[in-house]
Amino acid sequence: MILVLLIVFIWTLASLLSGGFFPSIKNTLRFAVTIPACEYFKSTGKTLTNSLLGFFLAFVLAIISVLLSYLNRTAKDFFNAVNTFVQSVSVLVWSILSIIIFGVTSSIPPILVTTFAVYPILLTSTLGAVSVLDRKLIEVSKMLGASKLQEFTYVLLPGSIPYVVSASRAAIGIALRISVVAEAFGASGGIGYQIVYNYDLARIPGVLTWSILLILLMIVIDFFVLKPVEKWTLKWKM
Amino acid sequence: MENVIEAKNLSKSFSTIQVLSDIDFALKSGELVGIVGPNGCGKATFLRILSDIESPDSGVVKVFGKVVMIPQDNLLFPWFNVRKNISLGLKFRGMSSRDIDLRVDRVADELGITAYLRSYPSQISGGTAKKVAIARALVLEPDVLLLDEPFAGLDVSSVENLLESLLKLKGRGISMVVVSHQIEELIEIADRIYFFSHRPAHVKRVIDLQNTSVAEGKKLIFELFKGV
Repeated sequence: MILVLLIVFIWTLASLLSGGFFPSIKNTLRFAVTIPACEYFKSTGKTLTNSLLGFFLAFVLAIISVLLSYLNRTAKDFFNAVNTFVQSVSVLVWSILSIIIFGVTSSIPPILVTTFAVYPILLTSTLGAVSVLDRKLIEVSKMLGASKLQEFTYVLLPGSIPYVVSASRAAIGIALRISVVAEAFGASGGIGYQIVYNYDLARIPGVLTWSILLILLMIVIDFFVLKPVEKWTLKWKM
Repeated sequence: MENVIEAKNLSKSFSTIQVLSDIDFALKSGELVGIVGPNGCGKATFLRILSDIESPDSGVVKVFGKVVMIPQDNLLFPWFNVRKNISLGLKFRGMSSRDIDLRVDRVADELGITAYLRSYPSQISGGTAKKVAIARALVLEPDVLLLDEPFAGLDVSSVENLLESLLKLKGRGISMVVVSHQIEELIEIADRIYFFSHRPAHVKRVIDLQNTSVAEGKKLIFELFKGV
């Protein structure tokens, strides 16, 4: 509540100090109601699809990387190098490169850029979780006759889930923010595209409307999906 | 009776610390042998060598049959319920779900834990968790069970209950090696007790409890403890 009041205060102050260039809350709301509902659904759906597909792709890649790293020492070194490389390349570079490769109207760049941004977070957290997991549990699974693959699927993977879910909370937030950046560079739609489109037309109330929608979307996902899932998996934490 | 485990001149070091020194050990079929000794003398390491988790630096271990170890802290998988925990070893061995269920139900019934099959490890008591760990070993139909501190952290009634279960298993012909600090409980169920010395552990004395009264055995062990 205090945060909301603080935002309202700063917003009002900014509007007053800018002599009306920065729109007031009232003007922004007035503009927001002029946007057709279908436009909201279409752009939000597009951003959600981009973020979740990007996240899902990164998640699958991270799990495969951890599995291969667990099974093979060379693979472990390889994925460590990939992790460092992917982390060191800016989102801006990924966005521009993927738009050059796939085209400005393609839906692929936002998904791919999100994947590149989220993959290192998930890979690092999963590798970390695997390394802190009680080695004695691995010993027990070996004693029970588990193969290396069974060790991974029955012990390491479920044991890592609470840590991975915690990391996913942050990663999905990042996925939403990154996909919006990538959308802004292209012309395939989504909230990021709408923000830049409104900015280009100097429609600042439009920029603020879509930005607020993005914030609300992140809060709703975190509160109603990620937090309950995290709480549910905490009972598995060693 | 035939030996199911024979160990000769076992020695083991971890970096510069020698833990075991020239241990000779034998376990006969159907026998329950206790191992006692001072804290940190290497009893658990010895069990780990018998169960093939560790290798000795020198010496020979011969095992005739299937050996399963039950670790001190049970080590149940918190993300699986009790049924899944018990059945995991069978699943790893590729047994069909129907056969797994039948075997799990039989062993759970034998140990009196049927009511907990759907519970998760965080929802059961220490005594029940110990029985689940034993059940997880028993479904594999072992010839020898190795138990590391099975009575640790259990209340009196859980200890009584566990003693009863171990005696039942002994009655079924399962050989057991039990490492424990609970001398009184161990004397009640063991046929022989190996007393390990301080590190590097060697066998200081083997007490045959079949030819010794419980009171006498207890006195002997306490005297040995005073001497180390």
